[in-house]
Amino acid sequence: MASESQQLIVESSSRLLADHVSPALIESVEAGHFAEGLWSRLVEQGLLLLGLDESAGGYGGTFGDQLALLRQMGRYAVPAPVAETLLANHLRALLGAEGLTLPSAVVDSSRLTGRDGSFSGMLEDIPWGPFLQRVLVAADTSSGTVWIEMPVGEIENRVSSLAGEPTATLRFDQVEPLRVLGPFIEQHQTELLHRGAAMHASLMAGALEQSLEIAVGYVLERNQFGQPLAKFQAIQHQLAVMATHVAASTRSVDQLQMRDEAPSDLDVAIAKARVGEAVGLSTDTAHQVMGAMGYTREHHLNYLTRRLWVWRDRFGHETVWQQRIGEYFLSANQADLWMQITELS
Amino acid sequence: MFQGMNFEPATLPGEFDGLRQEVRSFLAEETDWAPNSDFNTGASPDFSRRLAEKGWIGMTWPKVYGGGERSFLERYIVTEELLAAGAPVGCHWIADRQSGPLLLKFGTEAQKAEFLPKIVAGDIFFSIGMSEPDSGSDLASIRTHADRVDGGWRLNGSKIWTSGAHHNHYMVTLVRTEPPGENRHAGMSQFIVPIRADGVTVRGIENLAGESDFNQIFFDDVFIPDELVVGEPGNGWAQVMSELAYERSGPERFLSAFRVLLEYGRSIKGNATPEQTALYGRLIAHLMVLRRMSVSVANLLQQGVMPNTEAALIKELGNAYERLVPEAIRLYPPKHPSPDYARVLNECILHAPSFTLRGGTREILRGMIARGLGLR
Repeated sequence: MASESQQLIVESSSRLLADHVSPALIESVEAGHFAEGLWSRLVEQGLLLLGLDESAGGYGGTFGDQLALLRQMGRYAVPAPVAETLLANHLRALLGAEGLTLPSAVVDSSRLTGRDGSFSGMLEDIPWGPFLQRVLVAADTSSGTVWIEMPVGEIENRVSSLAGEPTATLRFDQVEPLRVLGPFIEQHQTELLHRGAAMHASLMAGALEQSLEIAVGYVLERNQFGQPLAKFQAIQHQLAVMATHVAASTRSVDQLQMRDEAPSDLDVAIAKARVGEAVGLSTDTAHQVMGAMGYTREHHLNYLTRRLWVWRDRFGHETVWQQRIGEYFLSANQADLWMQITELS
Repeated sequence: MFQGMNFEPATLPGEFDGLRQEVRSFLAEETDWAPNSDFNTGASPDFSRRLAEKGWIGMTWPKVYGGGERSFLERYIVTEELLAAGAPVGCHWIADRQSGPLLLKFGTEAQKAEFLPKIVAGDIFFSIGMSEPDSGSDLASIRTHADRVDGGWRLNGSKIWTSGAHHNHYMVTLVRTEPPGENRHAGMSQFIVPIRADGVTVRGIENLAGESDFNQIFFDDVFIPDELVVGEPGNGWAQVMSELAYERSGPERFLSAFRVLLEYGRSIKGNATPEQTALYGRLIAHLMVLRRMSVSVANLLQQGVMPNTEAALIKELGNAYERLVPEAIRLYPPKHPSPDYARVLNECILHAPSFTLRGGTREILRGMIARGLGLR
């Protein structure tokens, strides 16, 4: 599946994540402390600039490389805005700005309003809000809509997502932007949506693989009625079905990673819809076979499960993408279904 | 994924697009059958012969036996085109998919020379003789047995659920040639049984749809000459297991409901509700992923790998999908159904129970996947 560069990324990032992501770290992040140490390692290894051309301050690499990295991040339930920062760097690159390693995010769910060179407005429920140093946001001005890069100042309504990610409302009251990145183009917004969806499909695929491995490992060790749970057909069959959905998920995400150029919008839609659909059954199963142990905070399965429950809703849940797929195949100028499917391969 | 599970992305090379177009042109000329993507539903000897004339039966086999020496991926393209079009492939399907490859692998030179060219020509068709009245998923418990006689074997017993035996010529039949011992997988052999031979009785069994597709076969002192034993006597179990990856990973394991999806799309095009659009998109997403997984396995088969766990996984996931399609669609019926919509939906619902039985039950497949996961 993975190209040589992707394999290297997988190996080096696995080592880094194994060394630096622990339940204690995740708990500390969920309690509101930024994962400084982990973030510095990611910066040192250049992983936050992965996929950026040298002209944009990066080290090269493809979007597929980013997805390979995020799949590993998913396996470790990484508690930091890595996907968000990679996406922000992509927008910076699109607009000709250099990439940064500061925790950043793109927000296009709401806009700021600009007047006389300063900007105001509220950005509600921003994941990782308290940790972000930069927000790339669309803003309406008298001369049109632009993308601007803002420092993060006032923070309100700190809450937590299902995954315990610190989330907040960011308020801007006549704040000067760090830079005006360029005109707001809808095409960029569409591209960001697809990239974000692909990234979250990859995160989920990694977390699903890891959940399956944890559940399998548990039932091999746990004894009941005088034998390992793994020996019970009821357990075997549940995990076998989960494995079919995990395999479909990884194959969907492999499709996004396999080419040097960015994947097609349709393949992204398929991956986000298909992997998202696998989450419910897979988390049900992993928790069911692990009994009450998997329901504890202490067992690390919960870090994966809670993130899966969040990631499946980010950048469009299953129905959103299923509708797009349906629209694509129903559009008037399209040939019969089988011809469409085989042309896409 | 887990060690030993491999769905390495592969694509059907563009150089085979011409072949795909050729199959489509051929199918466009076909008019005398109603489409149904369930490979087990339509059977037409005439259609199979027309297909044979195009060189699309036994197309991967050596030329010396009449084959085309084409790749496994080319065969994949032909079979998926036939299934998507709902062509009546039932007569030659088993011979092309399973019996021929079995003979190529284990058959004697004489068997290959005798049977393969006739399969390729669409002149002879094969059935599979595995299940028995008292042996379904527990295949090793079969009781049909053969006793050594001068020049061959005397066969007695019964097989059941034998699809197409009423129109096919031979069945590759798993029999006990030694009494069951400590190793229950030992002592079995595979015979090529001529279905019209003396002592063979075929009795049709109606399925719930009212069709006579499968049969019970009775063997009453049937003489099987040594020349019709496949491979080594006693090696039957291993030989049967070697067929499974061919049997389970192909497009027939997820395309059985394809005509339903196709007619649904035709019906809702231009008037779809958001719910119908999403359902259509969901079912297509599943189909595209399954197809990609199946092509990955076809690519492994081309490389000579026998991915039995992956094949079981595709069949389990694909069969679940085939069952899902009609069940999901019936809840969001089209306002303006296409002329074929109701027929294909009803046929699919009637046949759906067979999807998760034939070629290995869901329960057996889940057991195989569990073994692949290291649970058994």
